[in-house]
Amino acid sequence: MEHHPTWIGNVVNQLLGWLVLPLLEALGAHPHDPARPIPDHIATELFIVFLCIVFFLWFRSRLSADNPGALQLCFEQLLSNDFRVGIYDLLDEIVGHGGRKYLALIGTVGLFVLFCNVISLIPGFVSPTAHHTVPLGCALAVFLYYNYAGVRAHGPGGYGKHFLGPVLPLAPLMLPIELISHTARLLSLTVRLWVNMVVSELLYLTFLGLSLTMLYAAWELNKVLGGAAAIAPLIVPLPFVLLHVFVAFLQAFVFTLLPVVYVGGAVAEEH
Amino acid sequence: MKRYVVLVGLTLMLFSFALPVAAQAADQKPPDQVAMWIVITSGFAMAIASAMCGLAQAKATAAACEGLARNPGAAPAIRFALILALVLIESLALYTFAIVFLKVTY
Repeated sequence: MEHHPTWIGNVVNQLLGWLVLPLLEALGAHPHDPARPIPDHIATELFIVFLCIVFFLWFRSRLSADNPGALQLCFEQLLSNDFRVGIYDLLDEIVGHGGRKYLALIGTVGLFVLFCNVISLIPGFVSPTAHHTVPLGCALAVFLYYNYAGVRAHGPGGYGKHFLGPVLPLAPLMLPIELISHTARLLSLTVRLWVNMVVSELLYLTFLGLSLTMLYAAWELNKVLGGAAAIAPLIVPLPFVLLHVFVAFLQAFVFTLLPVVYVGGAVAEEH
Repeated sequence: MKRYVVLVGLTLMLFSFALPVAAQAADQKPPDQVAMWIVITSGFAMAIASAMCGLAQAKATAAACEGLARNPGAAPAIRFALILALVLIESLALYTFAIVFLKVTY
């Protein structure tokens, strides 16, 4: 999809463009537009990272165990809540004993994906996750991390045995299957997040376009009817904005849940 | 059962070796006749994928509801299994959509 340049892209390019352009040229990559070497989705991503760092540094100084504020209580719900879907709940349930030490990367990725998903609700921003490279980066981080966690838990030989299946004679058959299924996780994590965000944007655009077409047709027919139909483009796409909110939270949850499952599979003891 | 799994795995490996050929073909624009068929088959592919995905998700949800009604105490475990299953089923339809999205050029 063609995107119009966003203001955040302009700002980041003016701030960092002079620094990034020679770097890219030195690496042999030639950006399409030398005046804007940083694409918009990367700019939005950087903005989110910057915002998160500032916010959480400020927030950290206000945390207290004796007298938690409203914001702190809200964020504690992310870790553990009554529905048992917080990050600690997932880790305890799936990874089991000692699972809480994997919170750092999984929680970071989950929160990052969540903020990337919901930022398109603010006019002027486009979700970075609607561009395929951003989910791919998150999926790569998760992929490397759970393999690293597996190697650290079992050692290279012990972790390699996971790929050979339950009994040794089946190993030549199980090895390609396991390798494919593990690399397919990268694909499925990437495509799921990317397509979901693209689809919820497309749905909104499609219904906005439909109601605009209706408005034009009504305006051609009769000016009074057209004036009355002007409300349609304002109301018709609204449910899809709500759907986008729902999908954004759900996909962020899924992007937290699946890494937990993968880490749990990688560090699980043999039975 | 295991033999089928192996067969599917080998076919997948064959496909992964055939990828460079496919990538070369994707660079050129298809002729008009082919583009028309891409559009038509994309519609059918998406319809079939959505239909089967809906059926599968309905089965999973129905089973989860039954389980919840019989044993409300097991709600967290059932909810977790349900979400995981729904996500994995849904991604199959999304693969189809990704291919449609990438192949239909107008």
